[in-house]
Amino acid sequence: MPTTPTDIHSPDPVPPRRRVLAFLSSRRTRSRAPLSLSMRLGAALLLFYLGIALLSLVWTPHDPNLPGAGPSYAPPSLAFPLGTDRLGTDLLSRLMAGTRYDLGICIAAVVLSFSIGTVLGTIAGYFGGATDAAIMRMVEIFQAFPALLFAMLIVQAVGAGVVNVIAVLAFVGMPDYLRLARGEVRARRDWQYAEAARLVGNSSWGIAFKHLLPNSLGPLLAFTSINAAFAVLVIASLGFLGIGLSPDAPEWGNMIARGQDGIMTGQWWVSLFPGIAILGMTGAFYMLGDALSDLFDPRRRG
Amino acid sequence: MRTYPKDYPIVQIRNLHKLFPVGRGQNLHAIDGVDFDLRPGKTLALVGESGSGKSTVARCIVRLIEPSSGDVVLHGNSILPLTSLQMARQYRQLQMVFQDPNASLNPRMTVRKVLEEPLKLHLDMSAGTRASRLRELIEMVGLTAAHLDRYPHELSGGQRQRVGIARALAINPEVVLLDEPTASLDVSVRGQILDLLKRLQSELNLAFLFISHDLQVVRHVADEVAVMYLGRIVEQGPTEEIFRHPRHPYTQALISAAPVAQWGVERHRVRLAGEISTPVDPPAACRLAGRCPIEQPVCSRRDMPLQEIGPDHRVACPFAVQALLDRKTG
Repeated sequence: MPTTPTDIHSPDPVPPRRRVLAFLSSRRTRSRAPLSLSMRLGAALLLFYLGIALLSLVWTPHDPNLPGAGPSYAPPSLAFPLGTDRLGTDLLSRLMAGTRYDLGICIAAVVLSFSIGTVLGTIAGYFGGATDAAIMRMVEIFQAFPALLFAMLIVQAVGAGVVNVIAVLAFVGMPDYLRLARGEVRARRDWQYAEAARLVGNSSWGIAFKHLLPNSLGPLLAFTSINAAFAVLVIASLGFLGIGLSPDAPEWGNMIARGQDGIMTGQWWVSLFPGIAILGMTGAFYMLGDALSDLFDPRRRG
Repeated sequence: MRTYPKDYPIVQIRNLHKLFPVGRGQNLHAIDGVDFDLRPGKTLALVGESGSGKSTVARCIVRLIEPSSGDVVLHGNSILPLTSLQMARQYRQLQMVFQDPNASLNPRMTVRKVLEEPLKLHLDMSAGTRASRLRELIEMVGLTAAHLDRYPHELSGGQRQRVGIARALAINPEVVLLDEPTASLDVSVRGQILDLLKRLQSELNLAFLFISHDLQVVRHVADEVAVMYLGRIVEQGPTEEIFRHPRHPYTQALISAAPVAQWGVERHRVRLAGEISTPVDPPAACRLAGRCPIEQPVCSRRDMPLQEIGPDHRVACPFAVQALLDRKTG
């Protein structure tokens, strides 16, 4: 015997396309604001890089690893649009192949540190007490070292290689996610829907991971961009110092290092173009991150 | 629907205490020895001003907060020694509706997910049975199947509270604690929700603990009223008895403070002196000592226990009856 309540009136349902975006910002109705310029620019630039990385799998103008594809230190020309390096490898091809390394390592590292940091942070934030103390002391020890220095030390210790660099970057990035997730979950721990979730029959784990974590993801996702920009810089730095990947790998930092000798003698192109590539990628991540954190920051919401 | 003998107490609260340490060895006595029973098909209303400890009582019963001492008995068995896993099973019989439906619904879950969760966690149902139960539930609280795929922000306040009620009733509990279920709703919606609750109570023979500071609402829904002041029940009795013949000076002050929407009714206000005193380490005295219009020297020297003064009517004031008579004549 359902009654006919008069309070059945509600705003129009959100259209599906908006819903995806709205899921990322914790207040769904807010997504009607137009996307900011920095968001568009950052996203476009990243898509461009992604396209290049995929393209380099099937096609590059020359073999990126073949020395002597052209003359040594050929300046930019039609045959070699970005010139060649000392060994005569085509810089454009190397730069394209390098996108794969820098972007790939960066994404893998970010995904890894995001997952580990978020899970540990949720546990620390929800359970508190001794668990929290143990996890936080551990993190504080890691964070006592400057991240780049720490990364260099570990890479030196475990050796070069793609997997090692990914692991090290994940390790260095993880504490920030952990702290963020801990703070977000902790702030929501005593909210009524957490209590309601317990009465519905959830265990503590269920409340923490099914209810609190999904509501805490916004700032964490925004931070992935900023973390990715930092990761790109660390990868390139390790490459430049010659301790990250093998020195022959077409990684941008490696390439800058290889072009160092040419800078004083006028072969500026060898180092300049990988430098611009790095600048572009970090810039894209920062722009995206900035826009995302604006979106998720309740204080900056309109 | 299970049937029980008349006056069978499903839930018994015995000498419940909750202390919050506030530093320097001091304790805030949020609940200071509370006893009551909840019975099938009956509503006990817990009234009092904010800070009187009424919400803390509800949270202690479902153990969102651990009581400091005392006992919570469900169907004859104490539930305080249970582990959190065992406790989760007790929630099949013991449910709660929260004050603020905006805060108690997960903003990322559709109504369907909200209502499915208890069914999945407590009952072993096939997907088909669950779907029909969902429809049954949503219609039971006066919404339609179309609402199942809405998010909380797409619903009005009243609709959200209906969802909160449906969630509490999803697994057929016998006891429902209602923590100010209408306090955050518009007056226009309030009546609908109260009618819904009354209807569901009689259909499902539910035992209600109704926590409220709104006396009009309480008079409308409660069978029995317990008045709380500073962590203690100062008066308890049948609703009409309490509203017509309040005995405790605090109850009199509370009831006479409520506005009367009628011209020409002469209001006799009982006024208390000063402000509510602190619940931090209160002395062994009547909680109203220092504010009471009929205070006697003994009031600040010893605790005033509840005393039976009529059928099911108990008052924590030995001077109450006399005071009432004095006022009438003087």
